[in-house]
Amino acid sequence: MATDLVRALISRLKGRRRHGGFGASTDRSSPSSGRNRIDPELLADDSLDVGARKAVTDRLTLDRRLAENLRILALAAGPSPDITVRHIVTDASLYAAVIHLQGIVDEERVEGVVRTLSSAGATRAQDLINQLGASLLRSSHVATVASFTQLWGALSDGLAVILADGHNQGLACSAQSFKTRPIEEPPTDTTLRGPRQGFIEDLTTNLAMLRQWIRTPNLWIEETNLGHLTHTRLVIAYIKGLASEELLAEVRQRIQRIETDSVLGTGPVEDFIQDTHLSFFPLILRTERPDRVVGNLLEGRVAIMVQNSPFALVAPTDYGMLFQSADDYYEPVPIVFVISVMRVVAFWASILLPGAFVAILTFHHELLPTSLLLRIVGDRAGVPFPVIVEVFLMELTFELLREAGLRLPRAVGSAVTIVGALVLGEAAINAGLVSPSVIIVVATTAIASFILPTFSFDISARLLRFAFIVAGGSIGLFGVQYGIIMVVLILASRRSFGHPYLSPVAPFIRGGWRDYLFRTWHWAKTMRPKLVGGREPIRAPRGQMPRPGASPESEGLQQMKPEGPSDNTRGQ
Amino acid sequence: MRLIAALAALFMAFSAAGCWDRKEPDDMVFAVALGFDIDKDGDYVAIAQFANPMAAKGGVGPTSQPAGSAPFWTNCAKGRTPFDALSNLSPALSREMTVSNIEVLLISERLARRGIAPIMDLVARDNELRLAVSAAVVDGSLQSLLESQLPEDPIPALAIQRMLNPIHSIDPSAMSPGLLQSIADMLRPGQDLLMPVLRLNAGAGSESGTGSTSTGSPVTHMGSAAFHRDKMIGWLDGHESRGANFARSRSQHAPISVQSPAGGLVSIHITHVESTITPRYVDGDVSILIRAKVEGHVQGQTGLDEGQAGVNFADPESLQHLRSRLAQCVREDIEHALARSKQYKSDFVGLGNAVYRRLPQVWRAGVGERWYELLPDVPVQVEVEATLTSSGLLRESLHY
Amino acid sequence: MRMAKTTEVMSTRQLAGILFMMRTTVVISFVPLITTGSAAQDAWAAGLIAGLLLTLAAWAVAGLAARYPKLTVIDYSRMLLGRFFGTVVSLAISWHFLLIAATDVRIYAELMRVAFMPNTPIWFTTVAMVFLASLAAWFGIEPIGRAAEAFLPFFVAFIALTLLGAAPSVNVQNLQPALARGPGPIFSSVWTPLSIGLQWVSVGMLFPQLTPEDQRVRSAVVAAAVSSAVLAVVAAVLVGVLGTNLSSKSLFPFLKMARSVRPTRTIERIEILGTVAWGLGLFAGGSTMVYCGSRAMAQILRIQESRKVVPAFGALVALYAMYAYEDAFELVGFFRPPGFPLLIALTAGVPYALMWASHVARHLVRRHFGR
Repeated sequence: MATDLVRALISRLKGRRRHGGFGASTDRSSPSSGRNRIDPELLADDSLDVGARKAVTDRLTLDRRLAENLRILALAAGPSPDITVRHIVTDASLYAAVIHLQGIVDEERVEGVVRTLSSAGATRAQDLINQLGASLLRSSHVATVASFTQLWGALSDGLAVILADGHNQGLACSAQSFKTRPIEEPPTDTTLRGPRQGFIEDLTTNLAMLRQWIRTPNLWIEETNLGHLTHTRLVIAYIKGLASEELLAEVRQRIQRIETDSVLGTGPVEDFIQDTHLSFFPLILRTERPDRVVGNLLEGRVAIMVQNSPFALVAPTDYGMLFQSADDYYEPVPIVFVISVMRVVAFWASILLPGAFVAILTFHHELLPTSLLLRIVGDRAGVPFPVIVEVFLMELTFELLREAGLRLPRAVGSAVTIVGALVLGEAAINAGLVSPSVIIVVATTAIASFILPTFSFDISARLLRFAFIVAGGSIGLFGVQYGIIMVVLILASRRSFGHPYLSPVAPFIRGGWRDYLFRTWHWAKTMRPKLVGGREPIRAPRGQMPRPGASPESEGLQQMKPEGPSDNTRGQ
Repeated sequence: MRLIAALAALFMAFSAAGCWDRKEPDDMVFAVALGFDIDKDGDYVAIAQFANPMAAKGGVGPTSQPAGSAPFWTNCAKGRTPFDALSNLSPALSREMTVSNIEVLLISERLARRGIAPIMDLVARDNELRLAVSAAVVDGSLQSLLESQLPEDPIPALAIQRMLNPIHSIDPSAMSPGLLQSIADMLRPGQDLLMPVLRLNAGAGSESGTGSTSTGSPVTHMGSAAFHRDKMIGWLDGHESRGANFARSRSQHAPISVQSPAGGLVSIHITHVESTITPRYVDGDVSILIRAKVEGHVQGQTGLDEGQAGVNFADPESLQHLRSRLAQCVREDIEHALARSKQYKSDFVGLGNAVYRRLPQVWRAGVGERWYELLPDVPVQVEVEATLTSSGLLRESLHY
Repeated sequence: MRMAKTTEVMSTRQLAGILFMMRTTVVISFVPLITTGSAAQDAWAAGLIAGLLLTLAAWAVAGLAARYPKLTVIDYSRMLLGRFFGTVVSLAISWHFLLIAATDVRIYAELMRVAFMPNTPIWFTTVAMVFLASLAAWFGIEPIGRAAEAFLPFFVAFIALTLLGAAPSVNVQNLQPALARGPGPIFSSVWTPLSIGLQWVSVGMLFPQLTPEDQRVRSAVVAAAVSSAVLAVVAAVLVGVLGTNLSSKSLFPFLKMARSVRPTRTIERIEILGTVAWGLGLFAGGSTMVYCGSRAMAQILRIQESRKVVPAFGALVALYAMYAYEDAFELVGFFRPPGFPLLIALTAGVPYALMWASHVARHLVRRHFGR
C-alpha cells in the first residue's frame, strides 16, 4: 500500500526525464531549501531498481546535519570500502568530515586538507566553509557542493569533499592523482616523421595535449555528461569563429539527444550521433593522434572526446579524409602525391579485383589476351570448383587468418600467419583444390587492403568485396559495374553532419583536392576548404614559396671573402 | 531503410538470375585458329585449331595429365554456310567451343577463288569473332598447315599470328594488317584486296608432336594474293608484293641489293617509304602519277676482293650512283606490281581509289563504273626519289 | 502559378556533366550520324552542323527557362499557352522523358544481348537498369548530380582512351574525298542526331534548382556545344578506322571499332572501356529522366511529393522499354528519318516555338501598355 504508493510516485518521477542544456547535469534537487523533498530512506528498499534509485538520488540535497549526510552517502553508495571518511573536530570545536575515494586522490594532499581543516578557526559551520573556500585551502580548485549529485560527482572526479555539521553545503577541493599510462605512439596510426604522441584514456591529459598544439584562446571546449549509470564525461572541441555555428548546433543537439545508461568510449557515441546507422562507410573519423585532430580543427571541424577512450571523433567527415594518414603532412610533396594515388587505387582495387576476376573468367573470356587466358585456364585445369566458389573459399580463408592473427598472442601470431599463408596456399595448389592465379588475386587484394590508413574503413571494404564477388559471379562485368554505380550513388546520397560525403570528388571542390590527392607544400596552403572552413577562407598570404637568396654570384662572392668575426653569425 | 531495400532487391535480382551466360573456363574449349575451305560440292569446310592449355604450359601444376599430350589439336567439319560449318564442329567436342580468342583466320586458295564474301559477312556479324584477327590465304593444304607444329610456340596459332604481324618486317612480302584493313580495302571504291599468303614448305606435312626434331619452319610468309572484289585472281611473288606496298605507302623495312659502282653488290636496308598517287584527268583520259620517297641505309656489300676498294662513301658521285640504283630497283618493283594489277584486273594498289578521292566528279561521271575496263590502259608514271641516310657503322669500306 | 516544391539544389557544372554524358552515351552507341542518312565520310561535318543547330536549340530552351527562373516548364507552359494547350504540352514533355529513358535503356539492353551476353533476357537488363535509375531518382537530384560528377572524369577518360587506342588504325583515305558530295547527303544525317537533342528538355524541369544562377543558360549551351564536338570527332575516327561501308552498316559502330583494333601487344581488347562508359552515362541520363518525369507528372497531377511518383514512373519506363520495341530492327528503325525527326519536331519543336512566340508577344504587350 504505502510502498505501492511510493513506487507509483517513483515511477512518475522516473518518467519525467528532462534534458538539461549542454553543460548542465540532470540534477533535480533544489538545494535552496534546507530540507529534502524526498525521503532518503527510500533508498533502503532493496527492491528498487536502478532507475528508481537514480530518480531518488537526483533529488537529494545535503542536509545541515553531518550525520544525516553521511547516512545518505551510506544509503546511496553502499558499504564500498574505498569511500574514506575522516572525521575531524576543528580547533574551534566544529565537527567536520573529509570524504574521498581511495585510489584516485593523492593521500598527501588530502592530509594537507585535513591539516588545514583541523586548524581552521571559524566557529560557525557556514563561516568555516566560506573561510576554507575563500582563503585557507591551498588547493588549486574549490567548488561548493549542495546536492548529493554534486557530492558524488566531486568524489568521482578525485576531489576531496569537506562537510561541516551545521551547514548544508560542502566544499570540494582538488586532490586528484590518477594512474594513467604514459603518452606513447598510438599503435593504430604510426608515422615515420611525425610526433610520437597519442591520446590516452584520461580526458584531462588529452585536452592538455590539444591545448599545447593550439594555443589560441579561440579553442573552445564544452563538456557534458552522458550515461545515467556511467556519467561519462564528453567534450566537444572546436575553434570558435571558424567552425560554423550550424554545425556546432547540430553536434550539440545530437549529443543531447543521447539517452542511455552507459557510454563506454567513443564507439557508442559514434553510433548515436551518426547520420545513418546502416552505413558501410564510416561517417565519422576516429583517430588516436592529436596532430590529426588538430589539423581538422584548424579546418573548421569539430572534435568529440570521451573519458576513458583514447580515440577522438572528428565530424564532419568526408570520403577524402579517409585516405589521409598523418605521414602525408610530414613527407615531401611529390612522394605523398604518388602514395596518395596508390592508396586510392589500391582501395578500389581491393574491393573490385576479385569480383572483376571472377566476372572476366566466367563471362568475358574475350577480354583477356589469348596467351594470358590459356595460361590461367591451364593453371586451373582439374580444379573441381567453379571460379566463384574458389575465390570465395580463398577469401574466406584469408579472412579467418586475419581475424585469428588479431587474437593470438604476439609470440605465436607470426608463426600462424606464416604457416597459414605458405602451407595453406602451397598445399591447396598442390592438392589441386585452388589455382595459383586465384591465390595471386586474393593475396594482392589482401595486401592492397592493408594500405588504408583508417582501420574502420577496412571492415566495410571487406564486406563490399564479397558483395562484388557475388555480383561478378552472377552477371559478369555488368554486375560489377552495377555494383560500382550503386555504391557511388549511395555514397553520393550520404551526408555527414550536413556535409556531402563524397566531397571533394563530388561536388567537385578544387580546394578540397589538396587534402585528398594533390597535397601541396605548406607554403601553398593559402585557403581553407570551402565547405567546413568557409567562414574564414584565407589561411595564409600567398607568395611564400621559398626562393634562393639575391643572386648566386653575390652569394659566391660572400663566401670568398676572408672570414671575419661577424661572419660566424651568418646563416644557420 | 532504403539501403536495405536496395540491397535486398539487388541480391534477389542477382540470385534469381540463374546466370544465363555463365561459362566456366573449364567448360570451354578455346579455338585459337580458324580455317575455311570449300569442297567440290560447294560445302564450306571449317577447320579449327584448339588449344590444350594444360599441356601448353609445360607440366607445371597438377601432375595428373598424361605426359606428352599435345598442346593443340584440330577438328574439321562441313556445312552449307560458313556458320553452319562452324557449328557442325560442336558435336565432336566434349565442351562448348568459343571462337572469341582466335588469333588467325586462314582461307584456302580454293575458297579464296570462289569468293570470301560469306566469310567476311560471318566475321563482321558474329559477336564472338573480331576483325582484329590476322588473315591469310594458304598456298598448300590448309589442314596440314593447321596441324603442323611451329618451332617458336607450343601453340602454332600464336606463332602464325606473330608471323603475320611483324613489328618491322624485313622480308619481301606483304604487310598484313588485321582483317579490318582487308575488309576496308575490299569495300572501298576503286580498291581491291591484297591478302598475305602462307606457303607450306615441302615436306612439312607432318603431324604435330612434341619431341620431333625441328627441321626448320613448316610455313613461310611470302608473297600475297590479289583479289578482284571478293574473289582471288592470282598470286604475287615477294618482289611484286613489296612493290605494291611501296606504292600504297604501307611502309615496311625491306632489303634491296643494287649494283655497286665499284663492282659487286651493295645491300641497302630500306627503312621508310612514303608515296603519293596523283591522278590526272586530261581530255577524257585518266593518267596516274606515283611518286615515292624511299629512305635507307647501307648494310653491306660484296665485291671486296683483293685490290678492290669497295664503295667510296665519301665520294658524292658514288653516293648518287647508289641512290639512283636504289630508285631504279624500287621503281621496278612498283612497275612489276602494276603490271600484275593490270594483268589480273585487280586494283590492289588503289589507283581507282585515288581517282575517287582526288577527282570525285570524274569518278561519278562514269569512270567509276567502267574502272575495271579502263584499268589495263591507264598510263601510270612512277617516280622514285631515294635517300641514303647513312652507311651503317663504318664510314668507309675496309681495305684488305 | 506554382513554385517548384523542393529545396534540392544542383550545381550548373553537374547539370552540364549530365547533359554531356546523356547525349554522348546515346549517340556513340549507335552513332546516328553514320548509320542514319547517307553522309558517309562526311559524317563529321554532319556532326558539326547538328551541333550548331543543337546549340541554338539549347539556347532557346534554356533561354526561355531563364525568363521564368523559379518555374518549371510545366508551369510556364500553362501560363503561356493557356490551360488546355499547356497541359497537352506538359503531357507531351512528360512523355518525352519516358521515351528517352526507356529507349536509352532498351538500346543498352540490346547491346548487352547482342555483343556480350546473348542469353540474358532483355527484361533482366532493362529492369535492373530502370531500378537503378529509379533508386537514384528516389534519392533525389542531388545524389544524382554528385554521382554523375564523380563518374564524369571516368566517362571522358574511357572514351578518350578508346579513341586513342583506335587512332593509330585510322586510315585517312577512308575520310576522303571530303565534302565532295555536296550538302544533301550531309544534311540527311543531321536530323536524327539533332532530334536526339530532345534530352535538353530536362533543362526546363531542372532550371529552378540550379546554382549559381548566372551560369545556368551557359551550362546548357556549353554542354550542347562540347558534346557535339566530341561526337564529330568520334564520327571522324569511326569512319577513319572502319571505312564508310562497314561503319554505316554496323549496328553498334563504336563497339565494333573498339573490337576491331589491337592497340598494343599487351593491351589488345579495349571494348570494355567504351561499354563501361556507356553504362555510367546511361545511369546519369536515365536517372535524371526518371526524376524529371516524376516531377513533371507530380506537378501535372498536383501531387505534393514527387518522390511518390518515382516508382510508378519507373515501372512505366520499364514496361515501355520492354514492350514498345519488338526487337533490335524495330529499335533501329525508330530512329530513321523522317519519322523520328518529324515526331520530335512536332512534339517538342512546335510547342517551344509557340511558347517563345507567346512569351515575346506578352513581353511586347507589357511594354506597350505598361505594367
